[in-house]
Amino acid sequence: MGFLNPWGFLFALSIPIIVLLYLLKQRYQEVEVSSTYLWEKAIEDMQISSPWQRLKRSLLLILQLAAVVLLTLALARPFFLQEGTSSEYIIILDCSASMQAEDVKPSRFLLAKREIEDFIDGLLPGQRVTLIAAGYDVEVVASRSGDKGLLKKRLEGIEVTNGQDSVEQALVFAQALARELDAAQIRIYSDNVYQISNQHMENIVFNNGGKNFAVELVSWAQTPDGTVVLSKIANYSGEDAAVTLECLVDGATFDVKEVALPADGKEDVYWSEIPAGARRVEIAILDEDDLAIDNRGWTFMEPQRENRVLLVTERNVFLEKAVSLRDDVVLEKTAYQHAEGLKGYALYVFDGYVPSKLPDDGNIIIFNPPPQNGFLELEGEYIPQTASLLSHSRYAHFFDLVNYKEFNIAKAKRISLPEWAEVVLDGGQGPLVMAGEIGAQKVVVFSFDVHHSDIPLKVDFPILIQNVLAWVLPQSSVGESEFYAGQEVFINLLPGARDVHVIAPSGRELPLDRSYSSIPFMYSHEVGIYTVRQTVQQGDKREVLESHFTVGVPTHSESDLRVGQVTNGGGQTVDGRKGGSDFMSELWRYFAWAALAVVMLEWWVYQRGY
Amino acid sequence: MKVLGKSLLDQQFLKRLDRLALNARMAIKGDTGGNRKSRSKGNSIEFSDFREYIPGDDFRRIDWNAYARFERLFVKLFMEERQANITIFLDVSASMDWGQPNKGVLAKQLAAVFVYLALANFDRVAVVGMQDKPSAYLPYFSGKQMFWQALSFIEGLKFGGKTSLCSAVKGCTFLKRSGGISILITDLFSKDGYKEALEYLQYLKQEVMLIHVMAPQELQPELSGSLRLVDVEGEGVKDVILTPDLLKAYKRVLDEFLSDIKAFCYSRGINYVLVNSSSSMEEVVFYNLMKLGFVR
Repeated sequence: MGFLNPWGFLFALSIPIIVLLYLLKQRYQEVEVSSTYLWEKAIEDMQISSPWQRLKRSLLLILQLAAVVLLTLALARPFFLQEGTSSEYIIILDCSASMQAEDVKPSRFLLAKREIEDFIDGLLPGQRVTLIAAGYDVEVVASRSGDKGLLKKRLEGIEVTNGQDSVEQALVFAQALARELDAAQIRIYSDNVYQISNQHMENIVFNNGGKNFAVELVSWAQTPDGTVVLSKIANYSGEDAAVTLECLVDGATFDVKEVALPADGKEDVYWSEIPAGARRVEIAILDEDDLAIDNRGWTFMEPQRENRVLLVTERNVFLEKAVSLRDDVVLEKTAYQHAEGLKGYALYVFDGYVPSKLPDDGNIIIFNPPPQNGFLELEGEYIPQTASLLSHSRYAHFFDLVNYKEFNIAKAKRISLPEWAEVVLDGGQGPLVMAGEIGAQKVVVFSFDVHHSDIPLKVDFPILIQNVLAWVLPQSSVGESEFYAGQEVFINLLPGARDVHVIAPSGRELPLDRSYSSIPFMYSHEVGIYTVRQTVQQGDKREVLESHFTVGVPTHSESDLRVGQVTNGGGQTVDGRKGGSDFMSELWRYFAWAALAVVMLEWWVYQRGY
Repeated sequence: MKVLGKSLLDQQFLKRLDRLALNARMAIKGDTGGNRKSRSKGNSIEFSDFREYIPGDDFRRIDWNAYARFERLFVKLFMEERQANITIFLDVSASMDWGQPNKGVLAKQLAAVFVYLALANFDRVAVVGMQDKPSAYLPYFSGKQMFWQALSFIEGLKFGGKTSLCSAVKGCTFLKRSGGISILITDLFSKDGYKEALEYLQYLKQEVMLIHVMAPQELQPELSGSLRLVDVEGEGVKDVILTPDLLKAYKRVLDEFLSDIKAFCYSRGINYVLVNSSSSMEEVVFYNLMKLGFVR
């Protein structure tokens, strides 16, 4: 037996106080009697007739002291340890979107938090807890702490996410940690059943098998009949259902449909005649279910944007054709003598020419740089025998679907590699293709003249040029337009971008650091439509360009609220809905009840006037 | 009628007392002729016995009728009526000045009653106030005209001091072994007990009448709570918590005390009566004392 609160024994100090008060209380009322003779004899007689008399006289005192002793014990919170008590606990809290489900009241996540809080309250001195939040990433919010206040504060700070959990990664981490710590017990608070062959693991499951509908996908297409929006609606329950769908276009209700969904089935719903010029489309399920977060889906119909490209060349039909293959490219050509000092283009392609001062507002592709160009150092020419791709290069994707081994190049410039660049395709004595970033400016250099090779005649050439253009001239700020909450979104800086912000669905603006051309954005935690706003300076023209992406719930993993078995093996599973397992029996309640009984007995004795 | 006497006894009551007399079983020895039969054969008209004539007897008392029948000389013996010496011992210790109604008042009234009865019967009376020694003494007197003087003496007695019956009785040097009646009016709360005093009086050939006066608060205490009982005679203090148990014990002790006195008095032939100070004077005299044969 131990005591949770040894300070409670300080209450025992009231024992001498009571005794003192009792002694002080013995103030007798003076009464004159004719003789104390009979009284003396009576007292003697009483003491003889019952030896307990002396005790009886201080019965009230004894009862009071007993009550104080019992209360002191109750305050000290004695406990008995039960089997399976460990000194180290690792608590993993599942923070995935499905934990928001309200099939368990108030919600799976809140109940799990409450359970953990109760568990923390029940910790004994010397027991320590490592608290892991398994949200988008595994986050250790408290490490081996026995401080209940700190643990509860940290627990309070954990928020449920809209994305997938990382419980399995957390488990790997926890098991590694448990191996280090002796006899650490892992407790998983989740809505899934995790079973791993580990005796020291307990899985507290919060799941009532709630029913759920989800908007799995919203996308759009331009057809001859106009814009059509496609949505995919899923029914994650074992019974057929009819749900009401609403289509909102730019925030206003556009159409409402009733859709019959088979049990565990999915249904594609089309929305046609979307007005031209509409941008934001939201599909919402109006029926209530146990998980609300996945009841809406979005798509943003991004209008195409034009990119002005300047091609500086004497004459290069192949290049001209290859570059202008893209719809959004508006190609302008000029000769070397007019090329100096031009501005306002998203991309400059210099063929056999490098201006004395490079433009600073657009990305640059250089073919066959001339000697003494002031930008690249050249040391003569060579005949490349082989072309080898440096596959670890960040720019290796230039050669996706390109058969570079068949390339035959008559001669190439020997370029010494500048600091900002890395080799993509190596010709043996120097780079054939190199790429890099100067600040936010993307530069690709081809060290040969396409006319001195058979490349333009191959089908690979336009593919190569498109691959390069995809990098130097990204079609939108983001490669894709649909993401799951918590996914990392790479935002491509537009050429000449001066200021980049991401505006979350809630309206929160997040400025981005412009030091790289592709910026990872890690705050895709809200669901809805995000806006990337870039202020672009191209020449004297300054414009604000917006692109959009949507973030939704990973419905494939989160929308099915029914219990899923994740892994198999031993371990122990506890139904969290009924409250966590009790590993310690506290005794203070019994002492408190006993104290109350003694106080009532004392009152009775007092009333009886013993 | 003196003003003083008013408080103790009134005239009407005294008139009713005229019909009473003290009843003593014991024959009285005394010097002076009185109204009381003596064991001594004497000159009264009341026949007592015969005995054979011995020379020197007063031949006027020879019963000639008996001589005629038995041819022997007998003399007639007659009862001698004498004055009895009655001593009234009144406990005037502090403990007697207690109770509601006050024990002392009743005790003084009783003392006055006994004085009156004694004087009415031509007896000689002395009154002794007792504390731990005889504190006041009114020597023997007789004659009804002395009553008022005695009454004022009794009234004038002050209560105070401790009770010590034995030393008080033994301190009465005027008592001779000549017999008499001793009436003790006391609450018997004596620090040296009461038995020795009674035995001593019997040794002095006294017929003892014990009037035990107790207050209702002593017989049936109605106290409660934590009390410091202070002895009015300064015999110390006693801290008690008045529990029902203690009251029961008190009652038990009191019963024992009283029955012990009764048993002792019965065995020694002492007239004993317990008087509750809440009783009226009439009730005590015409009921208690008469019933027990103190007076007739």
